[in-house]
Amino acid sequence: MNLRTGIVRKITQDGMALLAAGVLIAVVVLAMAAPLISPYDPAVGELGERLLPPMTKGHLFGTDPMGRDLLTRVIYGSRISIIVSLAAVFLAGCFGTAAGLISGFYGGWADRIIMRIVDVQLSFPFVILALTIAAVLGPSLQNIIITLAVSNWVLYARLVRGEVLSIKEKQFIQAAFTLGLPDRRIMASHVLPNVVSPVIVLASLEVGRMIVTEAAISFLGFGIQPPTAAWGNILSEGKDYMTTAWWLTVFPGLAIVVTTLATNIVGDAIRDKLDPKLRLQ
Amino acid sequence: MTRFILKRLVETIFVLFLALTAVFGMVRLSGDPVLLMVPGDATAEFIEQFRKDMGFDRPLLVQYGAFILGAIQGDFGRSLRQQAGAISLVFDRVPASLLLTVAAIIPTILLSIPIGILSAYRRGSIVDRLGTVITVLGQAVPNFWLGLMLILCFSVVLRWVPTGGMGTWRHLILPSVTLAAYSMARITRLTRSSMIEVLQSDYIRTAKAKGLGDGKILLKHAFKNAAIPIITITGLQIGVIFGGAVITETIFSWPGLGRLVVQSIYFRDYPTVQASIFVIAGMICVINILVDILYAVVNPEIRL
Repeated sequence: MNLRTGIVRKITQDGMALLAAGVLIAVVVLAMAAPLISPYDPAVGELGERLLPPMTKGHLFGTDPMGRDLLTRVIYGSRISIIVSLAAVFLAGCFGTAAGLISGFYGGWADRIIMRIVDVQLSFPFVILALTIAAVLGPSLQNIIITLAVSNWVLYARLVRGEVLSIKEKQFIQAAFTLGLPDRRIMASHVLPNVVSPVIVLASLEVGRMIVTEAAISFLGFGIQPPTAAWGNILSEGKDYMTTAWWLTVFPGLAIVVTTLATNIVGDAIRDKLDPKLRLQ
Repeated sequence: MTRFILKRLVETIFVLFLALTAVFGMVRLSGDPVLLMVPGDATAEFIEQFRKDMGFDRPLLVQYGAFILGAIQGDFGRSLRQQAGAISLVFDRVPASLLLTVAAIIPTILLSIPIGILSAYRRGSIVDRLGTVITVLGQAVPNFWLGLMLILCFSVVLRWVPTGGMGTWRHLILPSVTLAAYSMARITRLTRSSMIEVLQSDYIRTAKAKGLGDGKILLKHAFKNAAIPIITITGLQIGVIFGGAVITETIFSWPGLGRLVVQSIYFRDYPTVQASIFVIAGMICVINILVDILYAVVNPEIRL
């Protein structure tokens, strides 16, 4: 590879990341501004305007079987996706990191038990676990967040444990032990800051997965319930009208794809930026 | 090798035991399991009668013991919805799910690995670019949407295949493609990066310097060593495929285990839910053991 293709590749890669970041920012801004910019109510529809195709006057994306404007519903749906995914990742990250810290730092029985649970949960299909928990807890916004967090914490626990194990042997940690610093102080001030970077990388990659999983659970009917607009349940309502109203399934799906794609690209870029720095630490 | 298999079997029993306990506990997560299982408009007398009939008025430990004992003998109680034992309902659906899973995995392995190897071998080529696009899209497109779009395109508009159900080979195409998409993307990507890493190692350079043909290097030396992470991830993907099957089977009305799980949860038929989750966990354990054995076969250094 000569110099020119190298530079072109770098620019396209960075360009992609910037574009993806831009898309994400746009989605977040749209979500936050939803009440201000949507001309319609996402939950109430005009029954006289049911199932209008896209590009009808006043309805860019068309309307759904209840006469609600699809564009408005998709924009409001983004709020759910963002809130749920960010909250779930935050919860799972905090809990998983704590578990991983304890597991890696103290070792012994705590480690063995925690890791057994992690391994078992990891090998079980994420979706089925999330479905069952969601069904038992009942459909609501908080419960979805809890469900996703419970299904997901194990990834963070395993990652953090691995990092802690490799850091434990480093000299500055050994020095802290020798100096007689209390365990909690060592964990908080010395181990934790070095473990945070991989966790952030994992979190940024997991946000996309959370969005898709929330949509899947809502799609199957166990998540956000109508009339609250969430991408998953819009798709679910729309799938019965596939032969007559294709837009009901295409547009929310596109929203999911674009957002997930953007999160994944940004996540990859974060990983690329943080990784070399990790080595130098 | 036998000692290894025995050890894994013991671990599996432990894991299955944990799974049973988890399944027992899950139903009791939100307090009273009886409230979960009765219809919404049940009277107080009905609830009490139900509680007595199903044994929920016994002390928790007694319930747990009875549950485990029953499970060992294969008795998960009767389905609350259909007139049959819970476990037999589950086993009825397993063949359909297996068919779908196999139909998804075979093209995955047959396509992803060669494409991954080719992409690594000819980096930057058209094959590589195309592969990257498919990989990125495959991981970002949610499989339920892909399924819906495929139905829209090939069933509704083109009318080449039926929209759902099971029967002829035509019914199998769309569901298996939908199910395979994500795994294909991941395994192609992984094969490619794994091969790239291996191809840069010293002993490959030595082999080339010795004058060995590219084909031989690729297959005999590089791939064997790149195969290890590939096998791991492929094994993990089986779990993902089972999970994905839940949604795919629902969309395509495929009479498999995943759809049974969703329907049972929806109808609050928790004995069936418990039985299905247990069977799924069991199948995954078996696959994990097989993957580990395959590991040990491929790499003689890993004789666990």
